[in-house]
Amino acid sequence: MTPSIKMPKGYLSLVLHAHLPFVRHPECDYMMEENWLYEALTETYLPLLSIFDNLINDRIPFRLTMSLTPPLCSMLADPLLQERYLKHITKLIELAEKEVDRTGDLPEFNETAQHYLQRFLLCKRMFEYSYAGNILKGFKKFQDLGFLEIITCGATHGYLPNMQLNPNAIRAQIKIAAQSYEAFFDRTPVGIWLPECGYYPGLERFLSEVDIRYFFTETHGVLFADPKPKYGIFAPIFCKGAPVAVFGRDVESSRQVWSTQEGYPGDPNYRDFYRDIGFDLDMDYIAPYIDPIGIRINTGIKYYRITDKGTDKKPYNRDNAMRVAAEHAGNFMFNREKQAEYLSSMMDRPPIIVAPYDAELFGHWWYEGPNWLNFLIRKTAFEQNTISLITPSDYLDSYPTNQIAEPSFSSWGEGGYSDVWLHKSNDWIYRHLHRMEERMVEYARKYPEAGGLLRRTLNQMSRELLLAESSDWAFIMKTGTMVQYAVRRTKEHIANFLRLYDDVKAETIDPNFVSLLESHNNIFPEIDYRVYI
Amino acid sequence: MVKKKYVKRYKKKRYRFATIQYRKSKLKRYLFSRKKRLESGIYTLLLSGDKNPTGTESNTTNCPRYTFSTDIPDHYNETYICALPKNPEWMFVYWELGPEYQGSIAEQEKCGSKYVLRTEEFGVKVLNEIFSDAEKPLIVDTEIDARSNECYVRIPYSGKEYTITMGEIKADNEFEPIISTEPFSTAQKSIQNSVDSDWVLFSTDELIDYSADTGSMKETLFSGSGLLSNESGSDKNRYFGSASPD
Repeated sequence: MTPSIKMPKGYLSLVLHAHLPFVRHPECDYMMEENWLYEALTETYLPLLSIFDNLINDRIPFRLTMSLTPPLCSMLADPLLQERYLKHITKLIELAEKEVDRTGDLPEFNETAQHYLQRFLLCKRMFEYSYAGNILKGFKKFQDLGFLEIITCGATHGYLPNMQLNPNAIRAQIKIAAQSYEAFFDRTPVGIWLPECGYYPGLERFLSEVDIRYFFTETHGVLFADPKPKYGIFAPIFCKGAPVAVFGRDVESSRQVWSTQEGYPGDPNYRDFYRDIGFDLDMDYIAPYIDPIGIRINTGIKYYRITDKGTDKKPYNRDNAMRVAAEHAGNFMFNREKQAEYLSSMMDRPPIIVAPYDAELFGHWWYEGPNWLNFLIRKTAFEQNTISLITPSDYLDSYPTNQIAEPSFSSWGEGGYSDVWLHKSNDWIYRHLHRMEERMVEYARKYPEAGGLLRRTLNQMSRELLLAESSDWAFIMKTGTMVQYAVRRTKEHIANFLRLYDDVKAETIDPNFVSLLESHNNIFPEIDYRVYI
Repeated sequence: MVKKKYVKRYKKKRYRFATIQYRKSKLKRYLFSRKKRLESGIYTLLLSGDKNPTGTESNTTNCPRYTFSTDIPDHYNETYICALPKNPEWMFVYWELGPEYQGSIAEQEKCGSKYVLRTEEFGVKVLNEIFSDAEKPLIVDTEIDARSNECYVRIPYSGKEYTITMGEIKADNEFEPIISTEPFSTAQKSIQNSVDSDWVLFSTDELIDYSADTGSMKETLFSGSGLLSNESGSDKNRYFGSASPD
């Protein structure tokens, strides 16, 4: 069976934004926050790669856009974290085996336990043998084969509107991201996911400097553009400041997935995220698989379905969940078809519906998310002729002439502007970040030809600055979970930077301290501080 | 045979003893050098059990082999001011007055002076300088405690460019500026009226209407507040999976 090749009435651009902050702690054997990466590998990245593999094996064409942020790529390529993930998944397999035994007489749970065991074994096999520990190879393969368009992001996911004061800081975030992308994927990025979709008028100048062709904004970024956008958000506009295209997020398709009220992930048949055996089982039994000092954590093994809002949860049934995921994929596709039909009747070109999501929603929070995506791609290929999957760059190739307008200041955070990253819980960081940015520019200009230890110090100062700028810390401070860690990380990077700054000034650089920082905060090994000139 | 066995055991014991002695002396030397290092104030890296020189506790969950300082300054002894737009209605302003101002603030306050953040519409100010009959620039003063170093200030009209000047209003109502921000633009909160005649369709308004959806989203989007706040916000369910469940 081959998919239809009729001219579609509209296009659907699915965009997955994969990002995690740079968390790497060689100083500890176990660090709870490193689990973010391991959980995302097991539940999101590896399942996605597995689905892509199956689609190719079944000769199903697809075009997806995926942003893999530089901190995530750096962690995925890091040997220490790779080794630790292997230990993590091996332990999970051990736990799943015990669970299969433990639930032997409970058929309603045993099937799910078997499912986890198979899932973990597959993850380990893929990680260890298919990709030799580095799954970036997998994503690169799908890009090289023409199924995936991988785009970049800010170097450390810094929220750019709050860096407006210092253009060099923004330039560094963009240039280093582009360099990092090239190192991992052997080509230059065509698009970028602006961290938190944070845009302010004029930002496009920095994007065009590294030949980025497009980015995304929240709906009102395009909708409030000046002048009024001819096609609403259903076609890109070119920014006034530089020839970079901007695509606005579609509200309807976003709501169907994101909404806590109407969204698919809240279906009673889907797996409940919050009932995890890390919290449910006896401490004696679960102790080897949680934080070594006895703090209970999610293990990833969860036996219940959402059921309803109450606490009396029913056992998870994988087959039912898959059936519902297929139904939801069909519903999503049907709605996009209707949307494309309606829009195309009003437009003189096929509309593009842009549906971006956090990649980690798929699999980690919404366990069946990757399967939903799988069903959606298959159904789109075989069950209709109205819409077709496309990437933004394909659309720009087909429709290179677009309206010029100035998009509006916007982000995709709560409130639609900077409310999340500029809040009473986190506003204290900007005084320090801005001073650091000024000092970095000062030294880059003062020592344009530094060599040896001074050069290493200036490069490490750049890393500390970039890591402090990560929007994740401000986000965590605002949301109120794991705040202590975010505050600590922010302060550490600021303190490290300021100490290096003072050491350079006093000409008392401590080579041991520089080496320690280089080995600890080792993101962007090829960084050149002169990007701040 | 017995003797041989005894000698072997004895040798093993001696060897073990020597190893322990060696390790003990090594540890002693190491602890001594560490003590010296700590006394000299060089805190390159801290080891498990060391007191952090900054007094800040690490929250790592198992014996870190070293920790970094989290000691950061409260101020930089410089004079600066910065304004960051938070949304179309509010901006965050922070500042610091260097040591040269510290004495004079108390003195001036005794003389009846007050300190304000002056929000001034930028484009109009420029026009006013060029054309004397241009409309007066919009000026809004927000009184501040000069010893504080930050506050949230209301934006008079969204989508315009402003500067913020921190200054002193003297007893005779004369404004004396101290420090100003660079001009900065603020966010739009509604759909623009301007139309590019080459880029318009009969259905443009309908497409815009549809872009904002037809349900509750439309109301929030067009009212310019609470954008995507409850339903489609991306900041629901982000990673950080190891956090304790809500």
